[in-house]
Amino acid sequence: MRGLFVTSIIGGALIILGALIIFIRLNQSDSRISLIAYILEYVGIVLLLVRIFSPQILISVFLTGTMGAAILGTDQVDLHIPLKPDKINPQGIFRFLLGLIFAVLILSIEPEIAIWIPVPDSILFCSLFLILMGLTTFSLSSRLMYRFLGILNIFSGFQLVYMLLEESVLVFGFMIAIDLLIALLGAYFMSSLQNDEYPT
Amino acid sequence: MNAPLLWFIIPFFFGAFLLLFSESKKLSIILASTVCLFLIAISATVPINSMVIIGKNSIIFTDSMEILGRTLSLERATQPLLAFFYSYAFIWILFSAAVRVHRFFVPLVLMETALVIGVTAVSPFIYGAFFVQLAVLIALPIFWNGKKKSGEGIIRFLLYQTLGLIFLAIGGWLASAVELNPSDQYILKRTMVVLLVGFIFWLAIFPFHSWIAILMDESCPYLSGFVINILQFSSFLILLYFLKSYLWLRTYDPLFIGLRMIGAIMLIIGSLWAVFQKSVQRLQAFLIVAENGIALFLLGLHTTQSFSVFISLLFIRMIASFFWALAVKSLPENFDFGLNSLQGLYRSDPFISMTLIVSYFSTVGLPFLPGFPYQATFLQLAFSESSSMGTVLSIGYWLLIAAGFRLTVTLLHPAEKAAEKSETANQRALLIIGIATLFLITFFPEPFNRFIAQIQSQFTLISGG
Repeated sequence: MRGLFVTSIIGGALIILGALIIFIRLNQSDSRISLIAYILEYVGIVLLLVRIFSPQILISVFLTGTMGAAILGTDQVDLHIPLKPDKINPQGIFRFLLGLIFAVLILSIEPEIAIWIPVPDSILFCSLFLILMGLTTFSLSSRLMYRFLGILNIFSGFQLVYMLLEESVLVFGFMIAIDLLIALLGAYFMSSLQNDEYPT
Repeated sequence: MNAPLLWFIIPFFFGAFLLLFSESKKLSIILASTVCLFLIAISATVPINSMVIIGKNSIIFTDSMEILGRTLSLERATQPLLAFFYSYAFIWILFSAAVRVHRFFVPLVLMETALVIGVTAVSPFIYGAFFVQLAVLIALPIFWNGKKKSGEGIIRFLLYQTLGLIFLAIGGWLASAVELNPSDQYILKRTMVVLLVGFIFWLAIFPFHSWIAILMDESCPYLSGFVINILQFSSFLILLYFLKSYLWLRTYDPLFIGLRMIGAIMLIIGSLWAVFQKSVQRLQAFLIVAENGIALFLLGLHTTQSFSVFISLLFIRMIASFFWALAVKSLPENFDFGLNSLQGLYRSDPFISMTLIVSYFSTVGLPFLPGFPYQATFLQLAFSESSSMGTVLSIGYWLLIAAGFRLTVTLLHPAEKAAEKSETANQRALLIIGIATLFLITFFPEPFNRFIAQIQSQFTLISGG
């Protein structure tokens, strides 16, 4: 029981961290850190679900996240450029605070939703956080990379809950296929544009 | 042999296989058309759940198959629908020979049609929502390739379809929970809201209706025409399955009141927007929004007559939209869809102009065109609901007519300088077939009505109240 608590805490923290990093780094041209953050979310998802699903399922989930990030980053990652940590700027601080406000907001409405969607609180919280952050990332971004990371976050949030509601292998397969297809679509769209910058 | 394998799995993978031959448009059209004709012939002649005797061998033609613990099932009653879907795919594929479309269009039509059959076949039906999402995802690369503007509509389309899937999947799960205890009003109300939000995203219900206009305005009209039609139809199909499957949903009066209100709002908004559009594709998009409103209002009335009108208008819209898409696609390649650019088109391209007018008014329902008797009944039903509702819906309906007259005046405008002729002889022949088909449905409605009665018989639980 204690182990479950610890993995849930670490898993939840990784998901929040991953989603916040993507949101804070919104529209940055070097998207490597954001893609790592996306993989980090999936590590968190695996930790959240570690006591619920079999290792085979967990590996499939983790591979979906990793491959999704790899597909999305195929055309965008330039390994020759050294990875530099971001400087703290007012925009980043504002987005960080906004993310925290969202977390508090979800924390307040989550018990209400938990009455009709019977999944563990930590999982429901993370799912709602991913969906909300995904929507915000999508809405505020002008780059295709971040718009697709937003959509993927939204879908990951849904997947996290729906996996617990529907234990059908067919549905699980569908969700993995949809996740990867969205990533593939993102990579395809970005590869057809000279500049990832998206005219809005 | 079983029905889902024949009408869903084989055409889907055949479509995927056809991608390999897409360089040769003629070959892929011939192969895909042959498959469609074969499937139409089987659906019209061989009943599901029967024994087929070929020489000394016999095959039992069953109705279901198991995939990963879930059942795909196509009953005998669905055969008219199967025949319609593959006939519909057949005409899109065949007529694509006369217009310039993406080389993956033909395989895509086959795969999308198979996925819509999957929506009909899968049990529990809510998994059909995942099929719809797959259909969206496989179509989007072609949309992106042929986009004329920024691609904003394509991205919005993806987002809204994904959000719709999320809400419908969760709503579907909640609906089965409500089934266990329908008296639990707390869960019931929330389930209704979740399902409603899902359909708001999918059916372009206000305020999430903008994607349909942006998408149609920036993509190939032939491609968007097919994909949007087939997806809107699938969304309605899933809505009907919801109503058919759950008694508590069919007997929940606030739902039907809500459908009528939403329908009225959509008709007003769609028609109002349609009047002020400056692009033919956006005009068509808002016609879809308004027609979705009419469809939801008719579903909300919850009577046998309204359901019959609902089904008839849905199919008329699908047929008319095909000819609309063909006509718009027959315009010059660099055409910007602007209504101003269409001024006086009648002088250079009379058949394109005629088809645009006839297909628009076929859906809206002008006398001597297929939609007229159904739209007249719709207005009659609206007034029988209440005089205020009837008045509001009539205003919406007349705005749609006004938008159509605006299009007609533009096309017949005596422009000083006639544009260059763009319709080819082949296109002209196909457009004449289109106009003739729409008139035939009007003057010889018996086969159409018989078909509608067969479709309606599957949903007696809904139409019967």
